[in-house]
Formats: sequence, structure tokens, C-alpha cells
Amino acid sequence: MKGSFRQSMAWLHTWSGLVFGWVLFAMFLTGTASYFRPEITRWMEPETGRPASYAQAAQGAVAYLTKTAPDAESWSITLPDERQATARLFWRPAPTPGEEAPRRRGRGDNRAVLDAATGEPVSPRDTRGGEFFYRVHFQMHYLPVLQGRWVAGLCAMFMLVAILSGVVTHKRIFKDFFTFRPRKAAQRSWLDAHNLTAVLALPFHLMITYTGLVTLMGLYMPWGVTANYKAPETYFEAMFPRAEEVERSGVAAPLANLPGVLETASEQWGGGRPWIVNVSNPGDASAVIEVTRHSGDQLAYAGGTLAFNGVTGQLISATPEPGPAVLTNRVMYGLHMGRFADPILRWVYFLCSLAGCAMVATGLVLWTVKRRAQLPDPDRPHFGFRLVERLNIGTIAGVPAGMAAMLWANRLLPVGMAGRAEWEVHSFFIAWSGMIAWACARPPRRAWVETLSAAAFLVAALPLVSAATTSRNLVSALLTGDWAMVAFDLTLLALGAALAFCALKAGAYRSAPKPRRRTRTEEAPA
Amino acid sequence: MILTAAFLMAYAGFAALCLSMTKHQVETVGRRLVPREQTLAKAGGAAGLGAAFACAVVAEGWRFGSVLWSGLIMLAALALTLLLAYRPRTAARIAAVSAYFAPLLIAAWALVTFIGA
Repeated sequence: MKGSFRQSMAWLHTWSGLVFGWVLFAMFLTGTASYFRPEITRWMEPETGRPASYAQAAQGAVAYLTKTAPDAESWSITLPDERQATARLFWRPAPTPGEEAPRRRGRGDNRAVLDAATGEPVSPRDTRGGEFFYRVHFQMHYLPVLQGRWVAGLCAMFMLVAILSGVVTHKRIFKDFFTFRPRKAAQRSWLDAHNLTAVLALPFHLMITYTGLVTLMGLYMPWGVTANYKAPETYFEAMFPRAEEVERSGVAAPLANLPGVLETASEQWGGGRPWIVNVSNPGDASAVIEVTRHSGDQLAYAGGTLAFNGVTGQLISATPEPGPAVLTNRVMYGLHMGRFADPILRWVYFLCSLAGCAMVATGLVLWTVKRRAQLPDPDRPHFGFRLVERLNIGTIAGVPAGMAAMLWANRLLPVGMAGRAEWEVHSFFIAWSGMIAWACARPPRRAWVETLSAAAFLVAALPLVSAATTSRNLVSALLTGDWAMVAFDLTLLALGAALAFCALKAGAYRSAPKPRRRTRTEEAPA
Repeated sequence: MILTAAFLMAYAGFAALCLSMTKHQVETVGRRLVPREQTLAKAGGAAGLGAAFACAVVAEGWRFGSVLWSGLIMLAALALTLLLAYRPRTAARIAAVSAYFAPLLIAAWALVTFIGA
């Protein structure tokens, strides 16, 4: 680690990138997929229908809840937006006399999923849907949630270290701004590819890493809260104020027209969309309707809540506008989540994020490419080199293969199977570790080609698997104009083609070792 | 329409900036540029990126527009660099076509928005 500032930064960049690179690659790729979380959920729940307006869904939800749980203590309705096909309901039953403080979360029988358009209950297969990719992206799996978040935070922190030290290390950011020389020596072109994906999308990488840390800053740096609030609860109350709990009056009164209330709320927000509706004491004269704004309406990831009289439908109160610090935090949160993005911007997010995956992957490959040239005997590398090489292959091909395997499991596991959702998740990790095992068992060059081909097949065959096992397929989606699902299948095909292209390139690379050696001697004096 | 114009402007802008660099001149236009042309290319590049920003803000407002612009220029630069590596001449031709069509698209958009409505 001796030497100039730039040399020590290069050292830091190399090793922070390598040690955390594999986890970071998985975090980046699952995070990339999370920009399409609702679409993935829709794909994984083929029993559900099409998105519909929130007003339509609200009407269905009220009708269902009035019939099913008329005397509940409260109802909670998560309305669909234009990307979701279901409304998710939850109700808290009235406490039976003698039972103290009801449990915060109800059991399965206090929940329902309704079709957004018809308001009829639907029972989608047991799956975690796009939620899994989102969760695993920042809290891992098979670990307690908080520990997983600490692991993610550590990785993100070193991602930030790697980005900043990388900027220092890269001597020719502006001179090489548009430079990519795929036909040059291996080390040169891998370095170019790494620089290209890193530098050109640098604003995105910096933003996403920094804001990612900010989303969990309360966990990593709790001292601001502990220094200013005696009990953590008072902090949460200040951050997320809730309406006072009102006692049931015992006087029956019909609930105000919910779609009308939602319209008033939307007007209050200048056309914003309602998202979560909470009704306390439904059917009682003391009923209160709280409407929370869609978190994707503004750059800031928080909408605020309006409270309405549940009988007359009149606005009672609104959560105060957040102060500058809270607003800053929420804008960062919003920038990270990208929920405000319209379809075009969402694709921009997705592509920039894919560039991030490519940056991590090319960085990992570069580590081995650089060192292979310096090995005393390139045919018999030492253990550390072999380990890195195999983990690279097993992860770069294994994570996409694992994600595809999860979608395969979603279609192939029996619908009534016990623990189905968990087994879908297991299949992600089984496929990933299978790829690592495969990479260890085969000679590296063959392993690259084989694992990438397998991943390409797993991804690209998904539209066919879906067509064979469910009523969802590309043709019917095209005929009914379900463009989200059309785009989903086409994206799978494109990603499969990209993986197949990588496999082809890896195959071609093997047959041309000669020029590599020649350029190595050329570059040696430099 | 106007977002397509924003992307084309960003692409043409980066292509002009790229053209102002000595190392990319021969591969894209076949000759070295004289200093005056280099200055022009630089100014044109900045103007292209600025015009892309204006388009994004007009389309999406200040907040979302600036986020969108950041994303669009990143993708435009990636597209240009990849194209430059394999088909430098084509990259330059596409830039010229973009610089030509983007103002037309903006004009068409303005016509539809201000007169059509």
C-alpha cells in the first residue's frame, strides 16, 4: 500500500471492489430488477387480471369489506396504481371483550386480494413476487433482517469507497471519455469496458450508492435520533404522525362515498394519486378515513396523509409539510427508488442500473485478466487466483440464472404446494450455488461458455415456460393489449440474447490467445 | 416527441464534443480539424447538451426533467461510445442526422402544442 496517493487509491479500489464485488453484483442486479417490481409481481401471479383505476378498485374494496368485516375496528386498503392489478385489503377485527390490545398484525384470514377491475376476491399462487428481489437487494436472505441490512450497508459503503477511489485511480477520465477498444489486448479492452460503464454512468452510480446508504441511515447512524429523542417511539411519532384513535360511538352511520373522498384528496394534492386508505370504525358515526398519497407522485418518497370524516366525507386534517431535513432525506429516498418515474424514465433507470451491473462484472473480470499476465505459470495459477476466477464465473452467470430459476419455479412448482413461496426463493440460491459448483468443476474457459449459455437459456426460455404452464403468453398479451406483459416477455428474450452474446464472446476469446501474448510484450515497457 | 428530440440532441452534443478531441477526429470524419473547427465543435456540443436539458425540462418540469436529462445523457454517451468502437463513421453520420432532425422534432412539437391545441 506504499507509494503515491494514486497508487494507494488504486490498491483500495482493487481490493474493496474484489472483496465485496460478488455481493455487490447480486445487489445491483436484483436492485435493477426491482425497478419493475409491480410488473414482476404481476407476471408471477398469473391468476390476477389487469390494472384498473383506483376509484374502481376502491368501490370494489368497500363493497367487499362491508360484506365481510362490517364491524371491524379498522380497514386498510392498498389501492392499485396503473401498474398493479390487485387491491390488497387487511382488516383488524373488533377486539373481543376481555382481550387486551389486539395484535398489531392480523392473521391470514384478515386479509384479502381483490381484482382491481371487478372487485372480486382472487387467490394468486403463493409467491413473493417482485418483492423478493427488492428485499434481497438490501437485506439479503437466510439472515435476520437487521443483520442482512448491515451486510448490505457494509457492501454499499465499500461500493462508495470503490467509486471514489476509482475516480482518483482513473488518470484519463476526460481524455478517454469516449474510448472503447474492443479489439485491443484483453487487459486494455476490459479496462476500457470497466471505465466506460463506470465513467459514463458515474452520476447514476454515485447517486444510487449514496442514496442507498441514506435509505437505511437511521439503522447505520442512530445517534442523531438517540441524542434528540428520549424514546425511539417519540421520534417515529414525530416522523410519521398518525391520527388520534377514536372510540366507537355505537351510533350506526353509513360510510361516506369512498371514490368521492378519494377525488377530493386527489384535488387537494393537485391531481396526486391516493395509495393507502385506512378506515377506522367503519359503519359508525365516529368513522375516520385516512388517505395516504402515492409515494411515486413526487420526487420525495412520501406523500402525506389526509384525514376525512368518515360519514360526511369532509376533510378534517392533513399531515404538516415536512421540514427541509426530512424533505432532503425523502428526495434522496425517492431518487433511489425511482417510483416517480414514468415509463421512459423507468427504462433509463433500468439501463443505467444495468450499466452498474456491467461495471461490477467487468471490474471483477479485470482483476483476473490483469493478474493472469503476471502469473509465473499461467497454466497452474495459485489458489487465490483460482478462487476468484471461479467465483466470478459462478456469480456473473449465476445471479441471472438464479433469478430466472426463481421465475421457472414460480411456473413449475405445484400451486397447492406447502411452503411454495419459500421454495421459489430457495431455487434462486440453489441455481446460483449450482453455477458456482459448475464453475469449479470445469476448466475456466469452458465454464464461462457453459454457465453463460445455461443462464441465457434459463432467461430466454421463460416466455415459453409461461405459455406452456399458464394462460399468460406473448400472443395473448399482444392480442389483449397488455403491453406491460408484452414488454416483460420481450425483455426476457433480449436479456437472454445478451447473455448468449456474452457466451459467444467467451467462446471466441479462447481461440485467439496469440495476439494477447504479443501485445503483452508490447505493453511491458509502459 | 420532445423526449426523442432530447435524446438526439444529447447524442449529437456528445458527438460534437467527441469530435473536438484530436484522437477521435480521423476515425469519425477522416481528417484533423483546424483549431477554429474544434472550438466550434466544443461550443456545439455544449449547446446540444443544453438543448437536451431544455427539452427534458419542458417535457417533465424542473424536478423530473433534470433527473431524466441526467439519465438520457448517460445513455446517449454510452450509445455513442459503443457505436464509435465498432462503426465510427456511422456514429458520426447518426450524429449529423440527429442534429438535423432534433430541431425539426422540436418545431413539430411546438406546432402541435401551441397551435394545435
